[in-house]
Amino acid sequence: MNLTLKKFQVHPFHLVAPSPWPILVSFSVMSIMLTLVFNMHGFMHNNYWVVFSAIVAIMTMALWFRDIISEATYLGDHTLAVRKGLNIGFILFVVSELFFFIAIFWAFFHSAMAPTIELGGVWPPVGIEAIGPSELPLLNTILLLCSGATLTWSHHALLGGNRFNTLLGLILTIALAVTFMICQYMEYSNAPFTISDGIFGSVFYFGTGFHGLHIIIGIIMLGVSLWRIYTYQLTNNHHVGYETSILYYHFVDVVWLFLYIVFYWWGT
Amino acid sequence: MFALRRVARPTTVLRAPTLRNTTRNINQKVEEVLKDGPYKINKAGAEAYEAEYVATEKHAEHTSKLWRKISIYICTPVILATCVNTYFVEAAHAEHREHLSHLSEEDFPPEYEFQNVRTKNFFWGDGDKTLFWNPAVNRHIRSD
Repeated sequence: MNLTLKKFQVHPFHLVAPSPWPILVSFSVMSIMLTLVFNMHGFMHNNYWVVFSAIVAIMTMALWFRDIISEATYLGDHTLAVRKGLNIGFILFVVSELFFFIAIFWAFFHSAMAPTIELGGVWPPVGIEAIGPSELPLLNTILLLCSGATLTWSHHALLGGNRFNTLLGLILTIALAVTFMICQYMEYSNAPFTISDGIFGSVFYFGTGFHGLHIIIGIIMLGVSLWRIYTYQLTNNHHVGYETSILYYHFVDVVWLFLYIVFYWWGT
Repeated sequence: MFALRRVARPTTVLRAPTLRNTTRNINQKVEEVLKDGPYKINKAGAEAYEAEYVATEKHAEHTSKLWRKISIYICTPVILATCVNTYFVEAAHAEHREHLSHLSEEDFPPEYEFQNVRTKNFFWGDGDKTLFWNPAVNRHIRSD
């Protein structure tokens, strides 16, 4: 009876095989956290351990994603039911990200709506030259909005089976996102205030810094999607990785709109 | 004695009617599945899937063309126009920075107590400068 059962999979689910990556990722991420805390508490010669844990975490993630790509592309484990599960999982992840950014905005509003007496009772605080909404952030907003447009162009070209337009739209999206990061770098390195300039500096770099980090992650996700489309791993009716990357990128895009309105416009 | 009784128990369990029925039920199920073939053809489902596929493809072609037009004819000029504006704003900023970089510590605008907070050394560089430190506009002037 068991022999007969093993010949057929009479359900659409993917029963994953034992894998070393979950426990390795857990320990390397914990190691990054611990070594960073040691660094911030002044432990000497500790940078090597931070870099080492980061390398282990990144390598483990790469190998884990390689396994998932093999399961999806070459082993055919990602049936419609599995894809549905992956999508729901990713949506839950984006919801957790949403609440992470809500916490940042909470910190901003908490400090900006009732500025303390030490800041002069005003926002932006006295002596702080804030960056206004008609300066570099305006260009950044336009760049991100346009990258959203080119991404939709690429996504629907893929759905319609148009390879050239898919690749062109995606390359343009990545180029616009990289330009955004360059502009953010220029803004940071010319800003008249730093992260240690009271609550204004802290909350400004907290919000824009984490957003920038998320744009970098979005660029990596779109870059992997570009490679997978280029090598025919993703097709017009099977591209979970690209769809989740698109969802993530649009989410980060919308977070920027709120950052622009709140941090650069209302907050100055 | 005790060990022997423990070995004897599973055999009684196996002979129990509930387990026997379950085994028989599983056997029946497997036979049913094998009779129809494990992967039954669902014609209605396949047709619905294909219809959706064709509809998506058709709709996508139109949407892709629309966003391509938006990207080329709206985004490009808007980006260029914003670039021009930003160029002039940033040129003025650069001039201001150039002026600030020549100021001595005494002439630099005084700072309030909440600015340039240092409770302990940063774990990079000389321990005093933040990341993205620009000496033209960021100064840490110690009064003592």
